[in-house]
Amino acid sequence: MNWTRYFSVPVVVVFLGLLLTGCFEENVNPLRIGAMAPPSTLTLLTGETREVTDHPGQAQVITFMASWCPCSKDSIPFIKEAYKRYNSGTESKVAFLMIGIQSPEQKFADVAGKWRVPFPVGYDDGDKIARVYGISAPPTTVFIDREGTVRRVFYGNIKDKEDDFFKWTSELL
Amino acid sequence: MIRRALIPLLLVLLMPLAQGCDEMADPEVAADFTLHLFDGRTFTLSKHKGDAVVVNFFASWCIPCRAEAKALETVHQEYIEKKVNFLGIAIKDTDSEARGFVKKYGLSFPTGLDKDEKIKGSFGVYGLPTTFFINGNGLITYTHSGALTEELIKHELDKIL
Repeated sequence: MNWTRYFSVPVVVVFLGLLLTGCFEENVNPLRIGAMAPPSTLTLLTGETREVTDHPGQAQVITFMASWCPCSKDSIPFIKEAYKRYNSGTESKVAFLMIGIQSPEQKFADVAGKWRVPFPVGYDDGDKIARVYGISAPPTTVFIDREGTVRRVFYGNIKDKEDDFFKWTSELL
Repeated sequence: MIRRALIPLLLVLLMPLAQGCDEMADPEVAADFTLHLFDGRTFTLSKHKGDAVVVNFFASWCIPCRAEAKALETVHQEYIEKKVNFLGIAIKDTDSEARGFVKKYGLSFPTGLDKDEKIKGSFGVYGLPTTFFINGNGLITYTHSGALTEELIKHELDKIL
C-alpha cells in the first residue's frame, strides 16, 4: 500500500496551519533586527523630501517623537549631545534624523522648533513611515549601522537609558 | 517510495519551528509588588498566583493610552468570569490627572499611581503604554509596547488561561 499518498496532504495542511496560527499580528513586525532598514520618503519641516535611509556607508540614528509626549522632550538633550559627539568638525560619523508622529503637523513643528534640533526633522503624515518601521508609540529610536542594517530599536525615554544610548550609538561605528 | 515519504517527513520535523513563532524565549518571572489603588485597597501581585494578570502602564497625557483604554475595559468585562485580573498602573502622572483618566475612560478594573516609580523600575518600563501579560505561574508571557487592540489582548490572554 502506498501510505505516503495518504500521509502527504494532511501533513502539509497541519504544517501550514501551525505556521499561520503561530504567527499572530503582534509578531508581524516589519522592522527586524538584522534586516535592512526599509526605504521610506519623508517630508522635512523645511518642505524638502528625502529618503529616510539615504546615507550609504554612514550609520544612522532615527528617533520617532510626538509633540504631546514628555518622554520625547526628555530625550532631546541626549540626542543633541550624541549628535554633537559624532558630528564634530567636518566629519559626520553618524547621521541623525527625527520624525514626528501621532501629532498634528503644526503642533509638532512648533515643539520641534522649541527643541532647536540641529539635524533634519520631518513629519510623518498619517504615521505611514511609523507603520513601515513597526513603531507603535513615541519615543522610539532606531539604530542603523553603516551597511543599512537595523541593529537595535529602543522604545522609551532615552533619559532613563542615557549611558546605554551613547553606547548603542558608538556600537554602530 | 522513499522520495515520496521525504516531503511529509521533512515537514513533520520542521513543525516545532512553526509552533515557535509566537513564543517568548525564556519567560521572566514578574517581580512582586504592591500598588495602592485609587479606591483605597491594595493590589499585591503574589496574592494572585494561579490567575492571569494583565499589567498595563499608562498616563493621562499619553495618547496611545487613550486609544487602548476602551479595548482594555471591553476585554476586562468580557473576561470577568475567567481567572484574569486587569491592573492599570499610572506613572509620570499626578494623582488627580490619573484618576481623571480612569473616570473619563470608564475603567472599572483596579488602577493606581506608581508615585515613586518602583514598580515601573522593576518591570523595566521606559515608554508608554507598555503592557505585561503574566500567567498563573507568575511568568511574563508577553510584553507589548504601544496601544493594544481587543483582538490582541484576547489572543494573549487565551494563551495563558
